[in-house]
Amino acid sequence: MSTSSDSRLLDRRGFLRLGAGVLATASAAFQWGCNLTTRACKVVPPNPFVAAGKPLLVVVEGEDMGAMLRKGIEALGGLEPLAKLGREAIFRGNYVASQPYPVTTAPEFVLAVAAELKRAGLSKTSLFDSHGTRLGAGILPEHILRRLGVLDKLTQGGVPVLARDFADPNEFVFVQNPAWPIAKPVAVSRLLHEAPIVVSLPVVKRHAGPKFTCALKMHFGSVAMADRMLVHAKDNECQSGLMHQRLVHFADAVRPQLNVVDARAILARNGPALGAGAEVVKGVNKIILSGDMVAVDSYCARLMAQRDDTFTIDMIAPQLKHAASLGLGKADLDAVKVVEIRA
Amino acid sequence: MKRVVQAFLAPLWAFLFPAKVSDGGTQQRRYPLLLWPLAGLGFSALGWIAGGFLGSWAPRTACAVGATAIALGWLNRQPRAALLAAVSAAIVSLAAVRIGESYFSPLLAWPVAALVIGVVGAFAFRRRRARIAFIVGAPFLGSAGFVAGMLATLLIAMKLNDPRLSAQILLGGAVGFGLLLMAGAAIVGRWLDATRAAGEMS
Repeated sequence: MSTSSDSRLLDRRGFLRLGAGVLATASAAFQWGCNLTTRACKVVPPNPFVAAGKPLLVVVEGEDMGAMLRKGIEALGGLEPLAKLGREAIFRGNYVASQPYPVTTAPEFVLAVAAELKRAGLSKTSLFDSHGTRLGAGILPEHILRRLGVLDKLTQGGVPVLARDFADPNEFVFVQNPAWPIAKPVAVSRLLHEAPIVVSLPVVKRHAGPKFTCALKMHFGSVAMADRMLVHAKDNECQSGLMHQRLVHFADAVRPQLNVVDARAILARNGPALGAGAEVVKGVNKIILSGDMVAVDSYCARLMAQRDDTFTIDMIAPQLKHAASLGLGKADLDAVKVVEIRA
Repeated sequence: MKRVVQAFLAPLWAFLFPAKVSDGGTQQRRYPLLLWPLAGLGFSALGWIAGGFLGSWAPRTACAVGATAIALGWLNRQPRAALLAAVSAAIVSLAAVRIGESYFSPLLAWPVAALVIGVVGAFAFRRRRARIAFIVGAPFLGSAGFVAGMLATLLIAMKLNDPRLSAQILLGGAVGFGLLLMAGAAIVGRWLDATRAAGEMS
């Protein structure tokens, strides 16, 4: 470069380079900043399934899954209140391992609920799951669903599967509720955050660290792997209370409008997968429906305690209490209208 | 005491921040050594974030390695080589991500892209030993930087218990990649490239 050009503050080429650099930096910083911006948790309308001011919890006992579902929905007052919220619903199943029901949500159950929602006026239902990443050839987001045959069965049954990468920052939004005692956001799935209707389809299981998995704990699968990892690394054995609190915050970030628990069989003694002493208890033959996920967990914990002598409801009392304090539902079943029927 | 400290620090300072270098009788401004890893860190991070505009792992990786190659060419004052290295590294990394999705892992793209940057970037050196050292060292430096960056981000995120930080583990990897690769290029250039070494001595 010549001396004269050296003396100039900035020549044309330098200006263009600088401009391009500044533009690129600003764009990248803007995008990064947007991704890291913390939003409020999604606002959902009040529980539409109530009776005399109390949340409804319908328990159907029987042998025929389809008949049980229909009877349960009827007792709930129908699914039309959901159809008023939107035309599409997203299901959240539990697909933590490549093992069939009751470790994971049965595809037949998903299809049966999807059929009921379509009957109520919804035009589309999809299943969301996030238990894998494209960063490993053997752990792709759909690998568990594919191995279980859920992917094929649901796709053929007209329920598309939305398998998302649990490590991809683009798939998540940061949300936070000022009422949380832990002032840290949660990276919840963008799809679930933006979905007008989320229907949760839990299974009832023991869980090694958190002791119990049902409507609340299953939302570990709704948040980024980074969030799950931090909680497991810090308090896997539920010693400090972080696990109890955080799993409630994860559920708060999703707030499904309806929970339909497939408790025809449950996984007792250990979990969340078979092995290490876990055993499948068949013949429970119940389906539980409610818009109140705390009441669902409170009821299902009792079901578990009746069939697993290593479990007591006290083990999950802190999470139920915390969830109730955040307004996620009622932990005290006296404050819930429990309807028990046979199909 | 002050003199002793100055005598100890002066060579280190001259190594890290050479203000001017005599090269074939002409005065040429040289970039401080520390600028290289910092540029690698910044460019790689910006590339990773900008790649997020275009999609997921593949564009992020391609943009991050491409940006690192541009930083290398820019500091070597070789814009054409920078462009060539950036395009080659981006294309090869895209292919490696696609192959890695089926076999093992798309993270394979990082050492592969580092090798491409090493091969193209080696032409900036004048001595064969420096070129060979950079070609051989680049994949190791890139991989080591990527792993170290990820681990550092993970450990800090766990320490701070911050999900926003832990969600950026791979950004940490990209930063480590750019940082170590460019630090390697700077050190190879300063120690093994004879012309430059001679320039610094004068």
